[in-house]
Amino acid sequence: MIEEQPDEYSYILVNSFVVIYKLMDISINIDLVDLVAEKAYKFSYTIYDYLKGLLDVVNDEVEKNELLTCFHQDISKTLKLNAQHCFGILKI
Amino acid sequence: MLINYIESSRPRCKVAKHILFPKVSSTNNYRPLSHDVKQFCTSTIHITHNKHYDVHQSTLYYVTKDVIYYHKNMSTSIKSLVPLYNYINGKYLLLRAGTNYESASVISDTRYCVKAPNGNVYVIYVRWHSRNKKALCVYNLTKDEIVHCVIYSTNSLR
Repeated sequence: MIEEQPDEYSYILVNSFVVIYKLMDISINIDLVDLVAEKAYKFSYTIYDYLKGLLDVVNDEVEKNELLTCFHQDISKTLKLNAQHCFGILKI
Repeated sequence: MLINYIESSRPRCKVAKHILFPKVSSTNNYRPLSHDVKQFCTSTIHITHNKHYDVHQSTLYYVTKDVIYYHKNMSTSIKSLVPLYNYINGKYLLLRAGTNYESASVISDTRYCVKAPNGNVYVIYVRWHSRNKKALCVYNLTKDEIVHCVIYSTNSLR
């Protein structure tokens, strides 16, 4: 259930977009709200595919290691127990 | 550095003996003032208001870099204020929220805002959708309309 702090589930991207996360059991839904056009685009990934996609994009070694840590653990368990930590990574 | 120090005149300042605390009404001395405090970005915004007059009389101020900024008496509550922080001069532009944002289901103190390149101001906030559901909404403050909402229920992890 969402807590009362919106910045834990969303963040503003270059003053033009709002990225909103929603974690389901095996998937992650991302709503990208274009503020200028006032349109919302929905994306849905499995958590594995999402982390894999991030790994392909990220160059920083520290961030790569953080993502690999998520991979090596039981992902759903990780997200439940340490969702805040993983959300910090997913904001990359 | 030493030469510059000698050449520059010493600043004329003195320690303040008294700080004027905002007063809501001079005629109503027997009722205690309420004091709402909310942290926004780097500053804490204070509103003092009189419960008796409720929203009719209030005084708002905030402190940034040892300077107290007062705003004129505003007939508003802290929930209906939307602060837009200017990172260049460190001041707030305090905006009045629209009717959609001020609905009873909005959870107070759960918002942040941004000014988009199209000139409109947007607020992101959380509100109750139903008993087991909350919604994270993007709201256009300039047009007073909701742009997009994502509903979170007990089925979703977060």
